[in-house]
Amino acid sequence: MNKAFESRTRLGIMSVLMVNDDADFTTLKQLLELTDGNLASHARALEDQGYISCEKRFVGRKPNTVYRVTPKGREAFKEHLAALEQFVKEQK
Amino acid sequence: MDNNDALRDIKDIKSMMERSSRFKSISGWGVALAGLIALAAAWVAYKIFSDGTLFGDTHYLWEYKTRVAVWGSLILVVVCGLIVMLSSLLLARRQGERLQIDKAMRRTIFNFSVPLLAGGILCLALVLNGYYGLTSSVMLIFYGLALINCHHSSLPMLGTLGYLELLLGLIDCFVATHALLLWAIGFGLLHLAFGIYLIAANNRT
Repeated sequence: MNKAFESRTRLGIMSVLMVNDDADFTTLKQLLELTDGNLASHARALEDQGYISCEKRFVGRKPNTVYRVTPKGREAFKEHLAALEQFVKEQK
Repeated sequence: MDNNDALRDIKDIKSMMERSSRFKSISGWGVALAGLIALAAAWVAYKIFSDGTLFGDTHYLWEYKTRVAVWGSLILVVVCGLIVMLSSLLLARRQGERLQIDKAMRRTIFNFSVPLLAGGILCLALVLNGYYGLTSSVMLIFYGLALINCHHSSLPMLGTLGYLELLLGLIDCFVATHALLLWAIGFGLLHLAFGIYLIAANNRT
């Protein structure tokens, strides 16, 4: 199991990014029902691990942050999911 | 971490992936209403053609009656499409789905519209050139393809519906005498059934 994915928030961020090419800050915030600070700090943690990349840009004058999963993050998340499933199987 | 935690995590991951990538707010009432309208239209068309209670049964009117029926059905398809889209938008707004309203919905509408528009234009060309015979099968086939094309970003059941419509359309190509019946099944009965299924499914959750 990967410690980086133990928080439910990070699990949620990764799940959304695995099936979407990208997601912006507001979308993620609303979808996962998070506060600004909460999402920002968890996203930062994932970014520091190199699991997601973050691109800041402007839409008109409004700043907009777009997140993507990195190949490393994709691999790590798949492994984590496989470990979870393995764990459940063994407990049965 | 115990077994329940792991199971809950897996469930969360799956549901979050689903919710963020699929547009599932399709209104069952809208679809069922479209089905009813199509059935009613098919019944009117049947009256016009078969027992001659509408427009009379004189042979020289045949061309005129066909034109009315084909144009009528084209307009009907557009009206029904609008009903389903508007009722689905209302449903989506009421359910308060977020990302769905954004990317997944746009992708679904785009993937659905491309084959449908191509089919619509082909139909128009057929009608303008006086080839009425194949219009019902072209409508069914392209509508089926449109559903198949968009079901990955929407309800998986749309795929099943799409394959059924496609099958009906292909049968219709060869069984020229039952165009109206197949059209009524494809656009009427199937939509009514699908609409009722959606209403039941929405009530369960």
